[in-house]
Amino acid sequence: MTVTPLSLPLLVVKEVTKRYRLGGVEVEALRGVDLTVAVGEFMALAGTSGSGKTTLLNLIGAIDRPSSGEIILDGIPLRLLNSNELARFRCKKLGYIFQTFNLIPTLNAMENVEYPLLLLGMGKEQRKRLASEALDQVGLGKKLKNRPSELSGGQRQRVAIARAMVKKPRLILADEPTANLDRKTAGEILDLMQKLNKELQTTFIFSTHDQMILTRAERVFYLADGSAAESPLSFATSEMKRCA
Amino acid sequence: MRLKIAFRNVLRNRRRTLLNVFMIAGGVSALIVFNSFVLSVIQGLRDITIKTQTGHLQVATPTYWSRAAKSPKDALMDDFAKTQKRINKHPQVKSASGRLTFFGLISKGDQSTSAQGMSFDPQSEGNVSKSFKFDKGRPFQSAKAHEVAVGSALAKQVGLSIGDNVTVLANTFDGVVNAIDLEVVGIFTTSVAMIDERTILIPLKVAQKLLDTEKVEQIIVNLKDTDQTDAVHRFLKKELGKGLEARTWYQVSKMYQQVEDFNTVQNSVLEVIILSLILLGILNTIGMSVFERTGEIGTIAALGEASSNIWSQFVLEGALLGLLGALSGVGLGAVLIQVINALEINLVIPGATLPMVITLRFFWFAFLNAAVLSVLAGTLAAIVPAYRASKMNIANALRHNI
Repeated sequence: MTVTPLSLPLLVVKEVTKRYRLGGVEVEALRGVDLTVAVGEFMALAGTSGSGKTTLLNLIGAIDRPSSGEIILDGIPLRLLNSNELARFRCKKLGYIFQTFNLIPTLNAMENVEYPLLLLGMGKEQRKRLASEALDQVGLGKKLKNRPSELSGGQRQRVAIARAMVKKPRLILADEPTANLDRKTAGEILDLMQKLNKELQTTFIFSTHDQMILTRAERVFYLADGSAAESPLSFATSEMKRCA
Repeated sequence: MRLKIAFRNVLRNRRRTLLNVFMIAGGVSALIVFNSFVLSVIQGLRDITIKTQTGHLQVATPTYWSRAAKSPKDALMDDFAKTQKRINKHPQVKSASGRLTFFGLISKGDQSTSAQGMSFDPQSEGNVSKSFKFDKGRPFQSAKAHEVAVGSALAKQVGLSIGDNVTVLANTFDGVVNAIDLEVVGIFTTSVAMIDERTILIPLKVAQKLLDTEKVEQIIVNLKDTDQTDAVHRFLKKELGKGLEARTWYQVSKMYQQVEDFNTVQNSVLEVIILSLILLGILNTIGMSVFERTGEIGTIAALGEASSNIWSQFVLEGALLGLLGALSGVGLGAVLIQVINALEINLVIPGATLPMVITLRFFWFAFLNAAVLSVLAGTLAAIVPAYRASKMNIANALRHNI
């Protein structure tokens, strides 16, 4: 089922399938998924563990290729790009937030946020200014020199958010961003993501099986056993309850 | 920033890095010490060869060098005093003296043995004892004195002591047997067994009298600085023209060349063994690092890092590890050389008669060579694991936690 976007589509996923071999057996992680996401949306991919949420995020995030189907992001069909071009594309257009934060342990908060700007070839001064501003925005202006091991889980995820947004990407993908956080911190992280979504008009797609996050999403895209269904919030939550 | 990241990654697992640096430093210092030892021995041999046998350069007729003369007489140099003057024009020349060599017999009473005679010109070459270490006696009193200095092993064989009168027999260049009575005034050692066992020295004028000639076979040229040999060689080529030919000490001394070639091969074999160990050590470390940092590699690739940059990042880390090991190895090598010199180890080198105190000199080449090879080994060792890192499937890599 395809949803008509409210404004210009940023992302179009057309009949995407993903198959891979696991221990000699072919597994179909996604079965003909269709999805359209408009600029500025704050949407969730919902589903139980193993439903294909991460696989779909990986495909949208240009870090994996579909077995069939088409993904068009910001007007560019990803299948036309070779691996170097995909790397450049990810660098310019996308931001990532991971469940396990995935900060580089040898770099401090400031340097972690600087990293994507380094990949863009930005000069040192500008990198430092933008990274400092991004960390200020997520409330970590006083933790610039701290290494990830010196930060709490919530603080690490804030650094990860700052890293994702510092280059002002078209789309931020978040894979279960609150799964490793307590309820209070998870709520704060969601507030922050929503604030950035509103203020910067950055599109957010995040995967979750967390009820609280689902209630905060503007739109929920439900995945089960690799098949997808667009549903209103109430439908998604009732489905989640049923599956649980 | 990339260098900073590489440096921090190298120091991330300090214990492992430290072990690796120790291992590389051990290899590098072993290379430095061995290389310095070989170079010191070769340089020592070079100095002995120049001082006691060849001089820095030898000038002779092309016929002498080609050994194609019908009679040895044809290979002799006419009017060598003029040539001496031309050679002495170069400011680096310390001495240029005529030389005659011959095979003959030395006899004392009923004791005789064959000997290789070498003439020495006290006037132009100065004091003979500078080149030959006199255990007993003294150098020649004058250029014409009927005196002889004998190698220590030869003196022992014939039972010679200072003050003995001996007869030296030799064929003149015309093929007539000639004999001359001489007084033994010195017994010398050179550290080279072959010389001590066979050589007798007599003044040039006396040798000319014995061989019935006023000519010489060669002019031995000694320089102020050995490193200037090639420069003076070029000068002599121009100055002497086609009638005479100059050859350097390393062209003339086959033994020196053989020893140098052997040591170079030996050194290369050791280099390969030590570098292989360094290579395997770094390969293991970077391989472990790639495995442990799988999640991190996935993350930076997801952020848009090009695979070529991921590759170069790990190669840089390998090179840095090699550099850290090289710097520590250079320090350790310098300390070891000082320690070895302080121990004053006595060693009889092949072909020598006396034990020599091994003094290792500081050769910048030995240090630079070992350091460069270490960094190169680090870089090479990192190539394969770095390639593995750069070709990782990002989605799979991201499943590993950082």
